[in-house]
Amino acid sequence: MARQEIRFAGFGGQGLLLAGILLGKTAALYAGKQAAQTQSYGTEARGGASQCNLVIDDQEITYVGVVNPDVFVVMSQEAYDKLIGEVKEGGLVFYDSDLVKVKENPRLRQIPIPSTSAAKGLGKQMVANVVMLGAMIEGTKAIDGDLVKTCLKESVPPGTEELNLKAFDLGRSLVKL
Amino acid sequence: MPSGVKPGKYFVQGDEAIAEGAIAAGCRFFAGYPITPSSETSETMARRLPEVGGICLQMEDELASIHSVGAASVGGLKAMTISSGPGISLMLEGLGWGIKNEIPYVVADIQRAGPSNGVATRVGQGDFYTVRYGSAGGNSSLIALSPKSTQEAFDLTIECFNLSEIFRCPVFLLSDETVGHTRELLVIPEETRLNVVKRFKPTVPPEQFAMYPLDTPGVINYPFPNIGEGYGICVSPYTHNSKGYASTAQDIQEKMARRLVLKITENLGRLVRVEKQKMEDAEFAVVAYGGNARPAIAAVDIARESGMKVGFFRPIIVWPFPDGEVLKVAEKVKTILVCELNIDGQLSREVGRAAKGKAEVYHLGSGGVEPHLPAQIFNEIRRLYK
Amino acid sequence: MSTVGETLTILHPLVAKYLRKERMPHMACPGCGIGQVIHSTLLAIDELGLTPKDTVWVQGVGCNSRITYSTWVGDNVDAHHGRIFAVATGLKMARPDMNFILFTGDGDCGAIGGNHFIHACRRNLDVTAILFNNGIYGMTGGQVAPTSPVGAVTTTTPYGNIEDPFDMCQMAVTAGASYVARWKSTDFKPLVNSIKKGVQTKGLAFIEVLLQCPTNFGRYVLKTSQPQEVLKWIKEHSVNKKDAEKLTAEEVAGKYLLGEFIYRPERSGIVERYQEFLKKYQKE
Repeated sequence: MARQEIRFAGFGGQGLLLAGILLGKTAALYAGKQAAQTQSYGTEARGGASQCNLVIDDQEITYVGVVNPDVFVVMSQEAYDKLIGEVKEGGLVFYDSDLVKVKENPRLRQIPIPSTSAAKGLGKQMVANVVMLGAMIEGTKAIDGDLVKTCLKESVPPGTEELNLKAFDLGRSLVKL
Repeated sequence: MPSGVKPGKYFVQGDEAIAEGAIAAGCRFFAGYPITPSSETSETMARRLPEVGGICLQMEDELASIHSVGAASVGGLKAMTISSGPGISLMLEGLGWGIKNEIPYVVADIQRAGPSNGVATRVGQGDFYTVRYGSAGGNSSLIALSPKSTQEAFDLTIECFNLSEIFRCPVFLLSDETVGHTRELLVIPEETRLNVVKRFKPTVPPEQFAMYPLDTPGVINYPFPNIGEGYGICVSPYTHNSKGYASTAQDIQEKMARRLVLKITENLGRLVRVEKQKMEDAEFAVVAYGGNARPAIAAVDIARESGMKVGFFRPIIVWPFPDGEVLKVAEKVKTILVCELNIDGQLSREVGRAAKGKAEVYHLGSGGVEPHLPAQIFNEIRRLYK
Repeated sequence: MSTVGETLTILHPLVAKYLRKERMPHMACPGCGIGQVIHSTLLAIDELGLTPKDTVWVQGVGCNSRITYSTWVGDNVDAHHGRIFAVATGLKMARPDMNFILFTGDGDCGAIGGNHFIHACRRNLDVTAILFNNGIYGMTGGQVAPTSPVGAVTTTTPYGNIEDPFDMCQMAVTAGASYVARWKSTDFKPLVNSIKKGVQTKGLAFIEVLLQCPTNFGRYVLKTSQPQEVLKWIKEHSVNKKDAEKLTAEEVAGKYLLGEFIYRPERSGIVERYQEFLKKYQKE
């Protein structure tokens, strides 16, 4: 696999940092890939926006930052409006359709995932980030989904494993490319 | 004492790797004051040091931190503190006490954009000269190592502790926010695979032991007796003789100054560590360190793909500055481009000095906040390439 | 003692036992009260049975410290100006089994060292600190100190000091020190007893001593070169706190209170708390 730049963005508290770290951890510790995760709090983060960036590669990663994501996972309107312009041509956008209204863009493939309502359906809105992660993994096949689930199980707070795994699988099922 | 080494693979920030490296090296006293972007190290130490029976204190300020760290080392423990630019400024006086009394300990500087408070959460590389020359009075040399990745942050922290014992002095880990905050793979090996230097103790009785070997300025691996070991040690911020008694005599001042400088400069062979990539046939060299190293490497790769004979050079031990290695590069290439995250030019000034006119030296600077983009560096290479 | 024909050096028995001969004579000015305080300290050490093996002297910067620098036959740790309490924290946490006696002064403790002093009291660090309060900065030539009385003429207050002096004993009490006391340099026995009590008390023992500085305080503030004049001034401007209870506010105004201000050995400090803490959290 060539270098993949993945960006998660939304507002603080949605758990996007956790999702990005989880994916990076899977890539580095379970999938034998190179991974580097960074955060941005700069001008892009005004208004409580939070951004988690991940680079995955088979080769050694020289530039750890994300400049033009191949994959953009977005869960807030503000993050979408601010950052959609940076996504690479032909890139994949997974957006929480409960919270984000997208603009028509022939350069990109924008995939709606109703993750907030899906999470609410599972009884915990907080796992919307894991739903998005599942969708993103299903849609990109960036990393083997079973490896992500293994890492997920070992990383979430004890007692929440089942809920998180359900959320992940639910997210996978919501992807219609 | 439990070793604290936890072998395995981890996906962690550079800051955390520093803490694990310190514990693996035997650090059992940490005192610090929170400052972005170093706080993650303090937080990891607060969690991990008690597990291994160590002492972790949050002091009232950076002054208390560096002084208590030096004192804890005098008390017999391997010790460390961490800060960033503004806090390092406050620590410089305490650093002087450590230098003067030849006290081993480690100070980590997670550089951020400056000057003054700058941008707390973002990278800078403005403390290159501060750590070397910031403590008043001169008459000393200094050792500083700089990692480019999470793994190196772990490895070099151990090396810092080792060098601090070998040279009996404070040693800097000069890192930055990019390395500190990027999460990547850390491999912690089995304890038996680590090389940890133990503190040297005297083999002669107190009457025969010189606490400060002023008459043999170049000696290293020199014993450091601590309080309560029967050596009646004397530690003092003032110029002092071999026993530690304060003195105003010119010859004592001379001997002391020479000891503090020569113990490092006469042992440079032990203190040269650099990284070179694609330098064998290079006609153009790109120099960078710390969190700006890997973007420079990426730019060199792009340049090579375009057919340019470009190589990469990085000082890993940044102080004492590797004059000899830089001169070798300058004699080989026509142009050297130094890429650093400051506008005033610090690393580039040292490279320029060490190059002795054998190559043209250019400075690509930025105020910081982000490391250079590989494209930015590549554009500059293309502009300057002959 | 040396033989006839050589310079005769007579050492006080306590000095002969506890201080480095090659560092004698010390550098105190004639008439300075520091010698008296060191005398009290050495007697306290002797009566307690402390030894060079288990006791460390920690000094800062100022007359008090420069005079005691590297004089103790055991380990001496001299810190930068004002950092003595931070240094003592590192030393004591590394070697909680050892005794630490700290010598500090007006500026070292009350000015540049103020913050570290406050936090050491808050942490109730188990050391004994002796504050040499001579009301002026002596070593550097007579500048005003945070302990200088209002109106004092010094080299940096040529028109008279307009600031109130710092009551560091009250600060130590408020911040949490286990034992706090104040005496004059001539209160020999009470001072010896306080130092002994301080060493034996767990937690921070803070003992302030008012002492005469004929060279600077005498010269600039009192316009005298006579040590006894300075001693007289100290005597007239201090009162035992028990006696003060019987006096009016006007009679007590402008006087230093002498005596013990607090004794709370039951208050735990960072040293024993950290040891308890490790019992709970140390894994291996």
